[in-house]
Amino acid sequence: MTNSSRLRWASVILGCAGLGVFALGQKPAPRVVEEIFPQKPTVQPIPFSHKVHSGLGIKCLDCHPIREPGYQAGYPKETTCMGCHASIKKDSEAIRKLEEFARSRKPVPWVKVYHVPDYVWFSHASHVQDAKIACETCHGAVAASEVIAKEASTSMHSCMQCHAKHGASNACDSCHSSQ
Amino acid sequence: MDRRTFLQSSAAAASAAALPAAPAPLSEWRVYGADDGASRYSACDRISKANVKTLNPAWVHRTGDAVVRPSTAMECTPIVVDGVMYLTTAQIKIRALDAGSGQAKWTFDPLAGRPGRGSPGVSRGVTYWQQGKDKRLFATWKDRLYSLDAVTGELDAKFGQQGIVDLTQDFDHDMAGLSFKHTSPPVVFEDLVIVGGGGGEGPYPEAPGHIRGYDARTGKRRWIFHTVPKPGEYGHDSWAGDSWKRAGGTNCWAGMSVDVKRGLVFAGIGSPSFDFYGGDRIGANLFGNCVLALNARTGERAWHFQVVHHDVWDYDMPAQPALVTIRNGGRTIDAVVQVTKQGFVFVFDRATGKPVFPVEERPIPKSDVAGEELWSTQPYPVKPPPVNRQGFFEKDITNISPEATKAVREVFEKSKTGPLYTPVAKDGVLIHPGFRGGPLWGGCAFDPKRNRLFVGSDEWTNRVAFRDPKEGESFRYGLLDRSVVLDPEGYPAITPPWGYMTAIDMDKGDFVWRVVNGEFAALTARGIPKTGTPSHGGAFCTAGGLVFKAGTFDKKIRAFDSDSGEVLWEYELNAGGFATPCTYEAGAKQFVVIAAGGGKDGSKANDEFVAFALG
Repeated sequence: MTNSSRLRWASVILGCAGLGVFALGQKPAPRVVEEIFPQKPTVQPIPFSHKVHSGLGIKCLDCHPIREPGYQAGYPKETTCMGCHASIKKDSEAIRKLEEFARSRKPVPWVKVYHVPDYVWFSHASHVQDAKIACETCHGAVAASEVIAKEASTSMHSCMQCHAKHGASNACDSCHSSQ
Repeated sequence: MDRRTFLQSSAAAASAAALPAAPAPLSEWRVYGADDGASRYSACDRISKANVKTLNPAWVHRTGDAVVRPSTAMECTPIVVDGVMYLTTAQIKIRALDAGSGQAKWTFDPLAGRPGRGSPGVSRGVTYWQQGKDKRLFATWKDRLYSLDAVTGELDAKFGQQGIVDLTQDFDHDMAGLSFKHTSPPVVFEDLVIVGGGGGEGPYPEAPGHIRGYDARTGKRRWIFHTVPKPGEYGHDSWAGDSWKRAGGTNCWAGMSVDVKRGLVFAGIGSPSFDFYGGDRIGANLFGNCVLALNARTGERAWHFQVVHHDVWDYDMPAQPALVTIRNGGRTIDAVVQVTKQGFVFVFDRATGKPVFPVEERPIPKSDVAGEELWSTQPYPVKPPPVNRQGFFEKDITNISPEATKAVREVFEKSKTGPLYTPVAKDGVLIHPGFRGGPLWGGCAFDPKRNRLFVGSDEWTNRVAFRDPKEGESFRYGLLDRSVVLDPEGYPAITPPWGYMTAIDMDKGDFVWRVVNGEFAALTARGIPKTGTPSHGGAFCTAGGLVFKAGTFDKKIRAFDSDSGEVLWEYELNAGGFATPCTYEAGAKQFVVIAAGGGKDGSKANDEFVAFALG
């Protein structure tokens, strides 16, 4: 995404026929959400540079494998990280923190940057494996970033624009379980 | 051999050599709606008012394929034929179980080889067909019609292409770039399997909802009825200009019913697309929003009644038309009952389409949306009374807390409001009941002994506002808002109650009883009288004098006294039972089964079919 395209997106949160959008007893989502990109970088429990790791030739799917059955892209296991960091920067505060997670077999509570609501059936497998959509299309220039901030909209309108551009279906039941 | 076993075995023996039109055994639930006419009545009476308090889980079948994020949901009503239960799972696998034990016999997965790709969609169940020893199961998943061997679960290679018919083909419509889905079970008549379904109702190009009859053995199309009539067909002139070419929606998504004796198939039709703006489809838009009776052998129209003319409120016919025989004014009438999202109960003579209770065409306001030309009147049945409130006025603003009142008032004041059929406004209108009803796909249940109709209904309010098209969008208006209007805590915008069960006397058309259905415990604890909750799925009634209904947000399934509405039994499920339950007998026990799939309205998805029995 170019700087010039990092403009204001007005996205609209919409429901589809038959979809439950709000949980009763929970605060309803606002009807109109103004998104400005890039958003404020997310503070993670352990600082992580995608730029540094990408520079070492590590690919997105190496650390974020698409988990069965294919909806989610995962996070790396802490023990995988420690495979290198047992010797690299092992004395840094961040790596000691990582090591503690690995030793206690607890996942690092990474903060998600991109969200889609529960009523959206977004499939990483469909997009990455089947349609060969580059990760950067939805997630921005992650490989060049020291810290990750949301750079692209995940609104229904932006999804539909991309579907239209690629000739993918924009039918409600492509992404929603409508009636 | 007791009476029930005798009836069951006699009927089973008879059905082995008979057409599907043979009467179903009293003890089974062979069709999605209990019988061909979708009466949702069971003659089973082992579970009665006297003993229902002793109902307990007898077995639980876990489908094993629920997904929590994104959320699956199960809307399936199982069918039970010759001791075998057939159902669809959270991810729309088709499965056979032993109806007495819940043990799986076989599973067919229409998504095999394609897991994790997009929404599995919705399925409300499957359809059984038998001719001689040939036992078939018909099921749909999105745009596919499957024929399976009911004994083995294997595809019937002689049907369509290796057991599958592509419903986007033979549709008399250019389907390039359009999608098709079929979420309710098809119906069968003689050697035909009849399907509805179709496209959505959004502002983008959508497929229409033509109805088709297929040869049950070969999958070859035998007839088609164009729900958007072609040139020269009846109703074509209800679409201005060439709007019929672009029109989509107009589909039967909630399922059909069959009058076997008359050879008629009944369908309730949904809104034309775009379902909130009709400036590009001026006219009444037949057969949108109609109750439609077709010759089941040929697909020819027998009669129709348009319940909403030129719909711009998404007031689809949301449920199977129920074919019931009522006593009314000293006469016995074979009737068809159509419940609507608006909360109306339309009752017609099945043979003629003439309303049993008078229907008045009443004027409605004009629209001020550019290009829109609403129909000047809409039909109102004089009886029965609506089963929920209609329209949204200042007095309706929720009062459960000052914060709730303040927040909803803000929405109210920036929206157009008024009675039912208040025209959509570009800057926002409140639609009540909203397009989740009122009643929805759960429909109604009819007790022939009591001449009584049971209807569940909700009080949801929607807000609709338009936006201008963005770059690349070809429609006149898109949607800026189509939300469910809720208070800051997420409760409905209207004053309670929010969910009901209603019993209607079909002789006089009056309510016999009406009770608030469901409970938000958090509100009860604050001293607010029981509010009821919205719900998903319908009810069935039995010869045991009971009405069973689940679907409320308190996750409970309840048994109501058919005579008084008193709750005689309730059980909290592990997740919302967002489906219509069924009942049957197996091994001299009567079971009540509900899909407890949760997953709607922010609730956690689950994968259980729970069977209850006495003791």
